[in-house]
Amino acid sequence: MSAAPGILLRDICKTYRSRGSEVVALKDMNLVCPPGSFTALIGPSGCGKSTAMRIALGLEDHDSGEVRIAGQAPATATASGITGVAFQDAALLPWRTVARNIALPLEVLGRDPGRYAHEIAKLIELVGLKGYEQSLPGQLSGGMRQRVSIARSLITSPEVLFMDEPFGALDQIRRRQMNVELQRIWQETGSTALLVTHGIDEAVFLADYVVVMHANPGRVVEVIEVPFPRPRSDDLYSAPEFHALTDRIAKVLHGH
Amino acid sequence: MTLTISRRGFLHTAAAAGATLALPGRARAATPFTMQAAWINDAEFSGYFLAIDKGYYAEEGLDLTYLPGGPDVIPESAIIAGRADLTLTTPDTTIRAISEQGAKFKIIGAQYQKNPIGVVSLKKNPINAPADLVGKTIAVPPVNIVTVEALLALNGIDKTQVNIVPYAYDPTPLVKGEIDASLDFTTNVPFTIGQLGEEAQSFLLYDHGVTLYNDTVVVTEETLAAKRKELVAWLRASRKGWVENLADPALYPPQWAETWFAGTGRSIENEVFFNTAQKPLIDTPNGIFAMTEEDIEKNIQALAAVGITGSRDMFDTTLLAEI
Amino acid sequence: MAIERAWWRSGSLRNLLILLILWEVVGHLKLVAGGALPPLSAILIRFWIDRADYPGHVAATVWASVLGFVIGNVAAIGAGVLFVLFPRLQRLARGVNIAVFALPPIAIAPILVLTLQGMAPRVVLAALGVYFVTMTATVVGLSQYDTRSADVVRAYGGGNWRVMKLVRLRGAIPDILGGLRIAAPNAVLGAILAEFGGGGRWGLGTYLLGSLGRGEPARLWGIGLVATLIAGASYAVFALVSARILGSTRSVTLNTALPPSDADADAPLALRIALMAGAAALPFVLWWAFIRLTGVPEMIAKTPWGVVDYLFLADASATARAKLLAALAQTLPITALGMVAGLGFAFLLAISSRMIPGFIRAFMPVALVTQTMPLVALTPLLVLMLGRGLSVTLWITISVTFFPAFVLLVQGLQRVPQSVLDLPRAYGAPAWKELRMVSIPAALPYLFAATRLTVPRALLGVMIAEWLATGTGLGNLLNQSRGYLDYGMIWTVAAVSVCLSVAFYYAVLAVERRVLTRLGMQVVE
Repeated sequence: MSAAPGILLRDICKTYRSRGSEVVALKDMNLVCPPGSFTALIGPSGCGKSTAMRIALGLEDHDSGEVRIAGQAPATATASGITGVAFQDAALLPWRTVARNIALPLEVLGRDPGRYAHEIAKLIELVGLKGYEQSLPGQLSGGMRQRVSIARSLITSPEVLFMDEPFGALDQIRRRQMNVELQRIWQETGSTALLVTHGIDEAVFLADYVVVMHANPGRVVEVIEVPFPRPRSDDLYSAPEFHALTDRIAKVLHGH
Repeated sequence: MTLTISRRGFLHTAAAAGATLALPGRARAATPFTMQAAWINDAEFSGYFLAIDKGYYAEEGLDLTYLPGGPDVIPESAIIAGRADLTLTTPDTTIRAISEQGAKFKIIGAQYQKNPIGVVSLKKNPINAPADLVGKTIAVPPVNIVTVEALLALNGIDKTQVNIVPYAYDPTPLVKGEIDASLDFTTNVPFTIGQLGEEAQSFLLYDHGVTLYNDTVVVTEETLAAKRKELVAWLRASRKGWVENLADPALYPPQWAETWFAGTGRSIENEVFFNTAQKPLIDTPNGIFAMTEEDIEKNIQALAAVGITGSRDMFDTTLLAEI
Repeated sequence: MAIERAWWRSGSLRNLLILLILWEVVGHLKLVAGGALPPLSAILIRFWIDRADYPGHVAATVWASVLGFVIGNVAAIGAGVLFVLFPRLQRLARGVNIAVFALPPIAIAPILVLTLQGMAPRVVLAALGVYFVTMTATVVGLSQYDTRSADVVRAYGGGNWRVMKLVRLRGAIPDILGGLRIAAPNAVLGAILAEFGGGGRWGLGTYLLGSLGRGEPARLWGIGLVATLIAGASYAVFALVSARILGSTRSVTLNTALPPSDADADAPLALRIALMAGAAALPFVLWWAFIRLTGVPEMIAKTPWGVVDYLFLADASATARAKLLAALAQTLPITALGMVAGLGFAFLLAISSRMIPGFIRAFMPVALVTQTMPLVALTPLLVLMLGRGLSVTLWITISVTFFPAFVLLVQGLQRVPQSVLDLPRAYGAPAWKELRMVSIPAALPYLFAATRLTVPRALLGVMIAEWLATGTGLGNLLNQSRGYLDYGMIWTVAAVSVCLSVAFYYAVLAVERRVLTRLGMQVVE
């Protein structure tokens, strides 16, 4: 693993222009994710957190500033397969089976999915979908689809993992279960992770660093370190120090 | 299709509206009588226009409704369906319908003693006789393919030696050299070709063995029995119209520019040319519409060449005799 | 919607201007078939010379179109309401609906001219052109309504009819207006086609016929452009009306599938079978009733039984069958080929619209014009450009099929969620890889829907080409049968072409259901 930060955004500016109006999505946004760390990006709707992630992935252009993923330009990094990504909706292709959906990044990268059969099987087991390899997304529940999408994001054994509210569509109970699983999976892979989320609970439970953003213009207002040891368990949710930290973040979030 | 009833009611109004549209100079208080023409309004039907305008049908006690034709209009259908009392047809279709389908038609007259249909080509690439067609491309309206096959058969030409393509009534392909010849009214299309800066060359099928009438006057046997008086009246008035029209073919078409020929998309000069060119094909010492025994026999023989069985009893010359 | 708006604003006007200038230059230099494509100025000059001719023809065409439009739409909306209130009626009418949808106007026009008189064939052809689109839009509009509002009406004792009147009809207006907008140009084109063949003094179709013999491409193009303007204006009128009423316009949608009728899964088997049999039989019953009601003699107007008799029992049936089969053998392969080409073209365009949106903006005006040009006017000119071989047939078929297919495919592509599109790109996939892996497969249901939609149009295109250019197949047989007074064959060709369209529709639907089910995708309704 390289010594460069997993994700580096320096002085990123991004303005959306449409006829007659301008929206400053990001203004001098800075973000550094140390290698192997788990960072949560949190903020109100429209604060530019998803835009920041899309810029980091090279899915969107930015006006000025620097982007580095593991020391490389986004296009180079994504094309070399060192990144993984999971979106808010599972974004599965309805005509591909679970196994073939997981294999999609391999095909994009021009690798032979056949040689990864073992990894695919392992990932399916890891996300608890053994027996569903040949099912189509339409036959799965929402939570199962989300787990397929997590498995897909891990298929390239990414150094850097991007997640945009991967559990946004799930209910609270299911979401907490998934968070526990995600932590376990992330620890096994040892990658740098960036999670975009609305949920303070989720951010604190999963992350080493919680990066709080504000809107108009989109910017980082504070980076808060989460001191809890790993592995963190379900019990953490009821711990007083957990609540103290979430309360503090909520205050930052609401600008108090 | 849920509207059948109201649609039916509508049909009557629509038909009435159509009739009014079609007939600016309608006469009054006479026996209603309807004729179905074979094509859209052009000089081919000048005699009838004149007879309508001058009130010759009214004088004969007929309240004539004139229906123009078109590519999808089968003239014979109009008389079978009872929409018209009389129609103008090509004799080959009519006689085939009588002999093969048992249609109860009678031919009671012939507008064109000689069929104006011919092979039209350009002078710079002339086709002067059927033999010249070998190895050439001729555009033929699909309904006339049989006629061309008759021409080839009668002149001993194998039809596989001639490339026959559909004719879309447009002389442009001929002028542009895309085809070598077209089958069309020799009374009409040479004018257009002249307008387009080329000189036309043509010959009549009639002069090469296809000795057919055209615009044969056809009625059903039923009409013949029930409206004999009206039919004779129609023949008489129409003949009068034609005689007067052909006396000076250049005289009347200009007068119809705003009536019969309004909006047809054709020019008056074209109609004058047409009217003049058709004169020798219509005129006959035996009186317009005449069908002599000799000519009827020629028609039957020409049709026999393409396997259409005609017979003398399909022609009824007795009405002509009563004019 | 995106197409419509993007088209009016930004570069579209400039592109249109460039195209017009290009047309002018090409016309002046006589680059296309020695002047078969005249410069725009020549067309306008010709139009000015002919200006006295137009009012009468335009009035006749507009009148027939309006009558057909009103009759067809009253029938369509009425039928739509009935179908929603009585779903079983919709099942029963399914065969009729599909037959109306699938009938190629060129095969029907001669039959209408045979059985009806005066303006009626034009009006009926115009009405047939609008029925399906509006009926479908009505059913879709009425089926999607706010159930809570309906509950409010019910809570005060309102019955089905009250709910229909107070909630559903109002809610369906946007859909119905959308249907009317697409139906309007259909009415104009139907009327013109019937005018072209059906006799009579006035109407653009009649004018076209008279002008064909003049050898003046400028006039033909002029008539074509006027027809296009009328069709386009009729579209614009309803676009404007819906914009006024709704404050927004909806997409250029064409509904291709029958609206889902409430499944009668719980009905007894016997009833379901009876409904299916009824649905299959109803078109033939109506056909029979139509002939009885018009009172046209048997020799001209063939009943379904008359056609069976003609094809299988009569003395000459063997000859008739041989002719029909020979014609089919010529028409069907080229129709299939033309469809594949048209769909392929639409697919390529839809894909390129995804990759180069500007290209589509330049292309859209031309595409719209080709859709509203009366084909019969341009076929002789196309012959000059393309000859009389396979290529002219293919071009005509492509030109009538690609546009609706294209619109449908673009919609399909627009519905692919952004995240699904982002996924391959997040792994650095180039655009073509994204297309191959995501967009193209995602457009598959829409490709199927487009295939169903284009069958009758493809048949129409091929038959027009056969009639006016190549002299082969069904189109030629239809026209030749006229010369032979072969009424049996005229009806047979009409019946067979409709049956083929319907059969093909169902064949595509069956393949579609199977493939999409296997792929875990939904049939586009």
